[in-house]
Amino acid sequence: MMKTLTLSLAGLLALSAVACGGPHYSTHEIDHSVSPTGGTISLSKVTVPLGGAVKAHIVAYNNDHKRMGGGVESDNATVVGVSQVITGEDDWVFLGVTAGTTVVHLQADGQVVRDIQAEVVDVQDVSQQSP
Amino acid sequence: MDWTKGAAHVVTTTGAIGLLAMLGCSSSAEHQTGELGNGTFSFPCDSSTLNCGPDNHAQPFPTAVASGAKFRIDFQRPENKANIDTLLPISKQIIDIAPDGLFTANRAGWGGFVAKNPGGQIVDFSEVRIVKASEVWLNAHSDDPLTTDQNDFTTLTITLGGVSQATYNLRANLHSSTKEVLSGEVDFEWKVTDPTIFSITNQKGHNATITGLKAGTSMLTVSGAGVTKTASVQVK
Repeated sequence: MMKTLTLSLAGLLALSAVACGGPHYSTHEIDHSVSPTGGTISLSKVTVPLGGAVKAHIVAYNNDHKRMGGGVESDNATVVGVSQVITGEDDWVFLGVTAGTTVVHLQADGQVVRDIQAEVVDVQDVSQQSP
Repeated sequence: MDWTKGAAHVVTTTGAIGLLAMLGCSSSAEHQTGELGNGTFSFPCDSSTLNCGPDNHAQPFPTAVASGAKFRIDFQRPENKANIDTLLPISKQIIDIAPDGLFTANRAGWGGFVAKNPGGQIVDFSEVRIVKASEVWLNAHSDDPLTTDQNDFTTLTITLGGVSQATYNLRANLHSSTKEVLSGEVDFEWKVTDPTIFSITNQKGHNATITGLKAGTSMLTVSGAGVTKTASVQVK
């Protein structure tokens, strides 16, 4: 009788953990952005100049503020290219391939959890700018 | 200025230590560290290069290339002597690359390029500005000690019977609207209106040689990267 009660209690706890979701995705943090050509990255928008690049450190966190497996994908790589940097799995470079707009998908533990609007801006007159 | 001759001169006057010191100092100036700090980009000298370093790379790394010009970029990781990384343009609309690694500046904008490892990961990236040329400057140099070099000339006088056999070595440089020197090699077209007054030989990229043939005046026209310069040449 006691054994049955213990097993039932354990089952209830397991079921409640599944029902509540346990630790789940909370947010991404973006920092260490590098772009000599003037690009910017935030959780609301990615802007890259045509022919330029922006590097960023992007980490996904769960609601316990523990790191999750990350990933970044472009919906249209002919507009914004996204590539991982050799120096770290959380370091990504966004490339301005052609002028236009698309969406960048941020992943956490293999699932797409956030979409960011992305734009490649054509800046033709760079004669006054310095990288 | 011929840097190769300069380096040889240092060997004879101050010895090998002086040469090593000079090479050591110049190597930091002529390479550009990538934005990620994982390697250095360098710009091999071509006929547009004003200051060619002792290892045949531009000194310093140019910040602007003329639209329409061709150029090369080299990338080197400090720990990786065998270059296994591939250089690619970020946007082929701005710069494109031929199978032999020669870049073409298609139009004005940011000419960014990335170095990728064999796995497709980005090792580093950097950029040059691609700028539309506004004017050609013509410079003239003669080996005749009685003549002086002419910079951005619009008139030039060649004296027949001089030490140099009435010859000038000419160089065309591209400039932006803000007077910035633009790098990258252009196949300039050199023309003379009356080829009996002076001849044009050794035309290669930004350089040519003109030689006075008989007394008179004729026009020299140099065209490249969408701009043209005309100068009057008097032979006497």
